[in-house]
Amino acid sequence: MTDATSQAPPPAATSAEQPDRVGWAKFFYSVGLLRESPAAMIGVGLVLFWVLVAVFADVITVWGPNEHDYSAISVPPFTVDGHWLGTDISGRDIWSRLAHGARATLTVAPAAIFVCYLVGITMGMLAGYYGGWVDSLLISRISDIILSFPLIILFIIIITVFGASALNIIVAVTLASSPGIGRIVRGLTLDLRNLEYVSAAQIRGEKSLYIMAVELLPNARGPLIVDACLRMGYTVITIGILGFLGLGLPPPDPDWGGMVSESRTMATVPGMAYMPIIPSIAVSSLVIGFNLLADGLREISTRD
Amino acid sequence: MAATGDDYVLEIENIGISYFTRVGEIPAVPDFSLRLKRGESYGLVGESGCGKTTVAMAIMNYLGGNGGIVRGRIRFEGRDMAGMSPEELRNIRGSKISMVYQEPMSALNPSLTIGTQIKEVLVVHEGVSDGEARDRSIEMLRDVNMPDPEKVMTRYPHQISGGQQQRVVIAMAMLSNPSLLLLDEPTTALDVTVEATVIDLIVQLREKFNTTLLYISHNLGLIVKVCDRVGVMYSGSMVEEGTIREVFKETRHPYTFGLFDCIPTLGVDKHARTLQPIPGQVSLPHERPPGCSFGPRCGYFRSGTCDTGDIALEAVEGGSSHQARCLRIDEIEHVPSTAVSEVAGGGADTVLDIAGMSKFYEIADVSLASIFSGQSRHYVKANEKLNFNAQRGRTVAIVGESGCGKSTFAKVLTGLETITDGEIRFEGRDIGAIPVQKRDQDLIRALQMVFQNPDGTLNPSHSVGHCIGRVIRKFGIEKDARGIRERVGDMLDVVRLPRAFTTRKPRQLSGGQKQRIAVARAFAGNPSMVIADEPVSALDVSVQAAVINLLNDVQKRYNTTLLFISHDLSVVRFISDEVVVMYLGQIMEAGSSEKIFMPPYHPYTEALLSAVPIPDPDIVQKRIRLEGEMPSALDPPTGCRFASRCPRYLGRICEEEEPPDQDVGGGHAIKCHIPIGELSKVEPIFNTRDNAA
Amino acid sequence: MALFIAKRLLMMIATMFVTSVLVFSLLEFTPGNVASKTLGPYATAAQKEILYKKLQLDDSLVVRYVRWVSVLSGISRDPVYDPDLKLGYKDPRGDQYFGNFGWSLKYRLPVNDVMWRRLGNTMILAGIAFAIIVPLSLVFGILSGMREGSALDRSLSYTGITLTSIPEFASATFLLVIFVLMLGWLPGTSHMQSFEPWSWASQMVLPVLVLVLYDFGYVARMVRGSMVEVMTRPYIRTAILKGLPYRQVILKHALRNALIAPFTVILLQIPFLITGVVVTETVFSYPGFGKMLLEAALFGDTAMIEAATLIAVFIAVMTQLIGDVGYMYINPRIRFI
Repeated sequence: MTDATSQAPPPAATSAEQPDRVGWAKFFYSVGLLRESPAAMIGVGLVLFWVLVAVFADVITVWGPNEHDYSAISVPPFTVDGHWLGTDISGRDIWSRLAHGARATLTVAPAAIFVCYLVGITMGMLAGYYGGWVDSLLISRISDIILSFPLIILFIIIITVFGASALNIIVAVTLASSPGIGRIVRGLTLDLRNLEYVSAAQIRGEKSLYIMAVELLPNARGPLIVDACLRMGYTVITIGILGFLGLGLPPPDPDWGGMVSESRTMATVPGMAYMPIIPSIAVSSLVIGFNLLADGLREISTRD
Repeated sequence: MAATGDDYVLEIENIGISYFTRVGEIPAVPDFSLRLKRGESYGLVGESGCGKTTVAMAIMNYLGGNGGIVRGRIRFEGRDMAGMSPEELRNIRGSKISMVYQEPMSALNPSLTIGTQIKEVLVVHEGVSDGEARDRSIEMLRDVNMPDPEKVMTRYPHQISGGQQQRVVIAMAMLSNPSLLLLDEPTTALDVTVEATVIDLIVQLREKFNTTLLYISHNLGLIVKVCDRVGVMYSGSMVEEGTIREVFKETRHPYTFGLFDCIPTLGVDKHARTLQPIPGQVSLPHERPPGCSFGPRCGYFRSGTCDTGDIALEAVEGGSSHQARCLRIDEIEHVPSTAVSEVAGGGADTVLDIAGMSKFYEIADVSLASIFSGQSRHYVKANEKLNFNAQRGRTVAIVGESGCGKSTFAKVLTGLETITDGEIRFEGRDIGAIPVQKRDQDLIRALQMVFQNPDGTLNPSHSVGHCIGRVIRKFGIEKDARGIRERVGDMLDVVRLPRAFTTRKPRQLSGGQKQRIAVARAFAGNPSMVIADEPVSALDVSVQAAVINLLNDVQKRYNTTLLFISHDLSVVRFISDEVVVMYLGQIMEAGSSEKIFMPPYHPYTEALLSAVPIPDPDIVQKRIRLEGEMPSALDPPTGCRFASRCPRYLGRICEEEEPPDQDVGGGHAIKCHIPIGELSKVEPIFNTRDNAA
Repeated sequence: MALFIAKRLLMMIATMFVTSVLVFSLLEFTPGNVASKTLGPYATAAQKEILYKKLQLDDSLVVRYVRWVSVLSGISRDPVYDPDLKLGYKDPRGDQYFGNFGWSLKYRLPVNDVMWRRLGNTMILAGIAFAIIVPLSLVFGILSGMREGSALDRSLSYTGITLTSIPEFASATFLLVIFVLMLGWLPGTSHMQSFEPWSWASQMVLPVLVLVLYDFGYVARMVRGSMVEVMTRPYIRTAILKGLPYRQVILKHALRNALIAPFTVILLQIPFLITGVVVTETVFSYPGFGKMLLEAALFGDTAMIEAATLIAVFIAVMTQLIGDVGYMYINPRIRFI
């Protein structure tokens, strides 16, 4: 058939007798669904790999991240024992710096996302549920102003004024991302607010806080998990960019963006290009992991 | 069977339609045959999921990416459609076979003008010039009784009403003078008075153009109005087929009996008989039992006979084309149930007293014009000067079409909104000005609600037990976990669901089951009044009956006052003791159920009654149709609200003066300028055919 | 309509006011910096003290903001050009004119002498990238959204995910290694000053490519998502069952609706490209607006940062306004509110 557009859904395939899954069983069931999508499994694999590297960074490395091995300066990968991925121009072990960089990234990014969601969900719920002036203050005024502010400039100003530190990166990411989350949550809340079970809760005199936390939030869960996954990826990029621009974690501690930046002139030097390439691959693979995972999650959440 | 020389427009021979999903092949329609003679009007009835829309889409050869016809063939005007090239198929679609859809709003492209969308049919199929296409489109719009067709051509779909949108879709379908017109629930999304005019239009067009119709509906009453022959579908198969009179009057298949027994008919109320719901639910397409698919729900099921092998459609003796798919066709003698269950009597104790209640919404007008004229405040008069009361244990129905203010009224009662004027006395207390946040627990407990949409009524994140338990805990009916669990179990008993349902999530329940849980939740706190807002209108008829019976039972058990909000007059007639008819925020007529359905009528009530589809070919209705659209509740007309559409409009007095509430006696009041004596002279709306003849 | 635009213009001015206040208070919270930055590291405490007085830096934040605005709007003179200070600053436009953003400490020139040229450079870069990204993502987004789940759709989907996942500094690294180190086809820097031995165009290729790679996947996926959603709508079924040719169904019925949602997203790429090119410009030493802003921020060149943020916010709100008006135009459902 030429016009094979999707049309009326087939009769419900999910039987009313579908077994009830709760807690961990449900979690494993969802992960099991991900297995059907190879791309999502690649995502899970990449993220899991970097998480393990970050957790065991001290165990799996021989050299400290800031230790100089003056006997092995600028050695390429796989040539000298103990420096699998080689060393940089000052003799620091790239694998060790990469692993500790992963630890820094995977601590700061989730922390930032957590704070973002705390702020974003509060803003969005209040705006969506109460509407009226609360809505126009939180969303139309505050968020719009922040969102119209170019992000990179916002980061640059915050970090140059307050100094480079993990906390300031979290502050900057929160300021930049929570309005967006707020808008998503507001949209979801507006969709859900008019459903009958919310009216039922209002009619039995439930407090607004109860309605928001118990009746609304659990049903906004799906899209928010997908969004959080995407945002993790973008936050990793942001941390990388800040590091690259010299606004990341204070040196000498390794961060991936900083590693690329330090060695970026080596990209065009024969035999030295591995120095910026390795951390570039690291950042990209972690972000790809998060994005593939998000895509897989979105697929299974729209399927059921 | 059929005499040779018959001119068939459509012949469907033993087709099987399947969808292919992750779970495997789902045989939506296992085996289906149908033949349509030229000029005939055929009705296909069945409940949701029975495959009637799938059949229509198969005729159009449009089953989406995952569906397909797996066996059999469809012949259109003698040609096998499976052998047609995409190009041939495209030439047939929209010109020889065209279709009218359920939701006119979403069937029209929101960003193209009506004119563009209509004209392209002619341009594509007949290659006419734009100017000619325009002239013919306007002419067609005139044929579908569209007011001001030239102007409508330049409008966008969202700028016209739902009834007008459906007229546009019909005009578009009729433009190329198709030999077959498929109508898939064309009036389901419309109000009853609008539905009546669209149905009239379909009948009228059919006579004018002699088009063959395949009319798909779940509503037996509409089939009677439109069709000559009817086929009843159940779970993907045709179970009974014949002329309207054969199927409606000489019913043979147990499922068809079942359908008739579970729909309330006008004139019958809960004191006269109980509705007989069909037990169980439709089995899923891939879980159909062997033999008769209706077997598990059939009262005449005989093990060893009905569950072995396929059952064919067999001709019923004495019928011209009457067929039924039942092995025991000759043995079964169906006797309609006359069982009457005890219903709540109710007493003289007034629970709810509404006096002069009004609810206005203030709208700030931000247009430039209003800033210059200084008139920037407008009011939506959602409810104006409502007066009525409800006695303990009685059922009061509020009837009206969308926009009449019945939902606003429910919001005001439950405290989601507060009134603008007047008072609402509930068990003696004036509660109109108290929002729900300020109501005390006893008051909240005493006034609960059942909602319309079964899919929205339960929070998908919480289990049934949590949902009912929360009410019990909240209202302090039980304190400890054990007591709450016990009480949740009791409530499940009351609504006749197994106690094991406690741990289920809403997505594991059918629509009817969800609605039962909603009833359990509303009654869990022993309320003295329950507001039911269209509680059965989203349900299939067989499930509808069960929920109506349940509401009656539970009401009797707790002696609860029931405020039943509905647009369905048959259901209202069945369930209610008192009826309040609303139009555009005001009460037009109020009185006991029997009195409302007999003359004297308010002219609006009369029009409503005339529009109700009656599933009985022997009943004739007086034909009264409303012109125009319901005006906006924003600054509504002064004088009588109904004046702009009233078929019995008197003159200027109707527009200028507010009509009096005329007392007819026995609590029956009519708000109209026409004297009661005059109104009493009208004939009843309903007559049996014999009397009329 | 006129009222709507008037309202939005008012909102726009309010947004610019609020952001400029915020940026000003953040940067000038400690006014002492300005004096020491101006005089350089070898100045004595006494010299700083004099300058501090002359520039009235001990006034309150509000007074200083008002002064900044009045210098900007040409109401008052800029005190740094006072010859008594012997700073040697000179603006060919004079010391009092509309649009006076002051003196850039980092570049040792009036802000207006640096900023506009840099903005021009960035607009060239962003403009070329935008002109490539939009048609490319529209075509691919529509083709893959037309048939959800097709081979093209899937490959585009994963390509898109991968491309948007690679940060600009990483893709720049990869491209440099491939095209400069390994193939030697292109230059590694795009300083745009001398065009020997690399031509102007060859210097532009890599920066543009980095931007296109990063942004194309994102926009294309937006378009695809919208198209997929439109294709499931009943009015598309109506169009098909009317017997329209498939081309016409897509071009006349689907496209128009499918472009409504991504329209805003596409327009938002303009401010994103203009301010988001910092990384690309830094990698390739491209003399653009973003690199200038970063250098100014690292140096503490407050006059320049204030000027640049104001311009950046102006571009952002202007695009939003154009976006809103355009949205109303292409979406008949909200046209006459």
